[in-house]
Amino acid sequence: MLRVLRLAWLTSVRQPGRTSIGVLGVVAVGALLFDMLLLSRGLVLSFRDLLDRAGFDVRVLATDAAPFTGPRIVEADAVAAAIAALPQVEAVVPVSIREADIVSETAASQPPGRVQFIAADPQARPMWTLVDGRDLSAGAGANPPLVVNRTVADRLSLSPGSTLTLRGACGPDGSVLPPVAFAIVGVAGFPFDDAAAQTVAGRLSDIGRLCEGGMELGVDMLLVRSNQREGAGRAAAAIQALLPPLHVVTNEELVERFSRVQFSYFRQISFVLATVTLFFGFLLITVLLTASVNQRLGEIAALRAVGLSRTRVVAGVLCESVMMVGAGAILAVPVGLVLSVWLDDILRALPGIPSDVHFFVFEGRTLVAYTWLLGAASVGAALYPMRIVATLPIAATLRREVVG
Amino acid sequence: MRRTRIWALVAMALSAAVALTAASAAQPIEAGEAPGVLVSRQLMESRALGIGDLVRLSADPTGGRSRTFRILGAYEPTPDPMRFAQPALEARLHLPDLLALSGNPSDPSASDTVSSINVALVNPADADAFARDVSTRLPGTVARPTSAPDDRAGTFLVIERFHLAIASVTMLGSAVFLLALMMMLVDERSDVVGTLRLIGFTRRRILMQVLAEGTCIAAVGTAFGIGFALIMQGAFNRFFQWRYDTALVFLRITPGVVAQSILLALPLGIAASAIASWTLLRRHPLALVRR
Amino acid sequence: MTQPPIVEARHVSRVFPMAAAPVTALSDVSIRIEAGEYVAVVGPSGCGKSTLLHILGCVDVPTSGDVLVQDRNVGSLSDAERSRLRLREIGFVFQRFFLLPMLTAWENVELPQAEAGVARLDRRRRTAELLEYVGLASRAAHRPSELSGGEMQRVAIARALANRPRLLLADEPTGELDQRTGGHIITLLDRLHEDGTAVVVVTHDVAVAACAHRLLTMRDGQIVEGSS
Repeated sequence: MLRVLRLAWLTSVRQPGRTSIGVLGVVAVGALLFDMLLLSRGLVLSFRDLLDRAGFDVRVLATDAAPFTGPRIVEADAVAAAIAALPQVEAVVPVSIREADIVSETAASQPPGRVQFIAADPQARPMWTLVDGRDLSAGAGANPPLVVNRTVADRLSLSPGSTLTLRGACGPDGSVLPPVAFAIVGVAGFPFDDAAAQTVAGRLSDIGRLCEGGMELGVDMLLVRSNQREGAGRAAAAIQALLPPLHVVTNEELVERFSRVQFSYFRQISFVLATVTLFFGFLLITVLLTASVNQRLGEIAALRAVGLSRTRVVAGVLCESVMMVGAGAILAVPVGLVLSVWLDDILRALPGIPSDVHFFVFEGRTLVAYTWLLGAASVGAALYPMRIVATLPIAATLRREVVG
Repeated sequence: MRRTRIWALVAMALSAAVALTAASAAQPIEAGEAPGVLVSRQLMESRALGIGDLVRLSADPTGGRSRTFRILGAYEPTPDPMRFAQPALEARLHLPDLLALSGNPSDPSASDTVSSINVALVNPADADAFARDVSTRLPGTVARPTSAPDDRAGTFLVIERFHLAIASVTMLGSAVFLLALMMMLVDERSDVVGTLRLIGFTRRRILMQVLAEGTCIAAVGTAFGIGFALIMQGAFNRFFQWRYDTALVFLRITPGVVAQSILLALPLGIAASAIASWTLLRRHPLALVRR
Repeated sequence: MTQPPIVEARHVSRVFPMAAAPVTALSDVSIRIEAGEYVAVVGPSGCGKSTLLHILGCVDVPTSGDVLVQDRNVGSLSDAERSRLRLREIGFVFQRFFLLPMLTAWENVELPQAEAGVARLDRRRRTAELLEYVGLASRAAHRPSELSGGEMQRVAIARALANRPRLLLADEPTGELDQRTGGHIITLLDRLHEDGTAVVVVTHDVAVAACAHRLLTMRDGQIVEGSS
């Protein structure tokens, strides 16, 4: 085997220009293939990570409409209490989201803006990560407490201790609501924020001050943390059995649904491009090897004449293919990783994409799939030149070579 | 945002309504003077509805405040690239019917509230000025020309940038492929080139010949590539239109794209043949013949 | 008990199917090559000399007739068995040398031995011995591109002898060489024969043919002169 490999290696380096081009071609193809494999599951993995990071594994909604677009859960306190009483459930947090306009700003030159107001139970584990100041549970004196994201804090030059006045943009049919002054207690990172998102978080009880009706209109969602021993599936089943009209979805189901619907484009494009790329690589190697073999027909026939078996010369061609693809594939991984960072930066500029979401995410199985695909391509690409070598008529070739 | 919500609401309402219809199959629906509704082809097919059928629609997921409608026809929804992966389960109602269905009954102004008003101007070139005028006269109202960029435009700009990046990498790979092909093509004829050099052909003369051949091959390759792309365009569109049950066009090869392809492929092919032939021509003719 | 011939062809014909009409390269040829013989095959171009050599060397199969190598019918052997036979029993020398350009002279000679599974130490000894034999010990580390035509042919002969074959087949071994260099090759073939290897050489070179003990003349696919 070593002899076969050595001869294949020597044959490959015999024409360094051609081999380099072949390897370079595989690098380009491999890098793109690697990236497409990263893309095929990247968004799903990243989205799942984002969901899991919030610390809740089941979501309860009024209907199967996308979160925050459908009807709300009414009598949320009672519903939350009933769910919390289930043995499969560890914690329940009602969450509502409203929109509010900024009324007073410390930076007068800035135009007024709109924020997304997340209202949650201050005693529950927050779904955001505090980076400065305190959390809502600490209270804030006269004004209701508010946590703002870095974009809001930077744009309005806010810090813990500042005041921010908001006017709810949730009145019936766009009617103007009275402004509410909030005391900034902290700055936090919100997992689903995009780069430009202006997000703030307040107490669920304060939503009534911001929007007419408040809690009576219901909450958008109940975040549930399942009991670790039971798991999300059992908790979801128990909730569904308890409250059949509600829509209960686990993180897994949510990811699966998003993967099937919202992320479909990226899955499709990665599949199409991976297929095209692989075919391209296959074609490149086939052409290079075929040309290389065709140029060495006399040599190969002579080797067969001196006694090298058919298997031996065919194995040599296969080794050449695997070597060329292998070298290109190894070099393609770092190139692909660099390329994926660039492509990720481009895609993350999509409006509404949370900053923490990545389109290209590395996982071990990507490397396994990549190796398998390129391995198969290298074998597939070698089939035709291998056939040429295997069916080479020794005598006729020797005769032709001498006449030629 | 609000518009999206309203569509979601209607879609949700329809899902609920159709579910109700199915559930009440044993209970006859009273037709009376049922208002007409148009139903998307996809909804018709997915729920096995037919023209003339009576359906009950509700904006409430529990089915409350439902109203009966008669299906007057089916329509092909306007393809929405932002939602192509979602089944287009939707319906078109007369505005008063939709308002009656979705408005808050305790709100007297509910029947007079719409999410947006589409305006056709006598002179479309005045769109910007008109939008500014409306915004000034009606504070709180957002007036925007339909040509103005919005989030959707931003999305497509990013996707376009992404495609461009992918295309650049593909181009790089293609260039390598092309170079390899041309090198082999030239290399295979090294003895001919060597002989020509030995009998007195100048490097320049041979290079010109190779370039002419390279141009021909590049031209034929480009034409073949465009032809192949045109065939693939149909295949791709048909597959994805079938896959997502939409009339959306996923791939469109415009004259601009064709021109771009020609402008890229031809010089690339010619350059590849020039580089490949130069690697051969700079060698000594005897070395070429002796190989 | 008489020893069987090294190779024997019985009523061998070889027809090449061509687009215009089939071409008969060999027509009912019979020949025996005994151990230690030195046979030269001569004749005009296209008379079937090389085809006969290829058939005797088991790289081609006859359309009809039998070829026996040490009493084994080649027609009944698989491709792998024929490869093994060529590797161990038959040495080939070609007009165009067909050395592997990326290997040194030493490696070219060592290659068939390695393929035959000869131990490394024995391989080294045999390769050194062969290169010494053909007078190229000092050129062992050189690649074919660094050798002259005559030197390349001598390496090719050393390679052909690597596994101590009982039969050496040479197809126009001096065809690409000048007279002086060709003379060296003739001397080498002569020595080989003296050392006990049977040699069959196809040639146009009168000097080569003159060294042979048996001369066969072919015309139109048949042996027309000399005892077969």
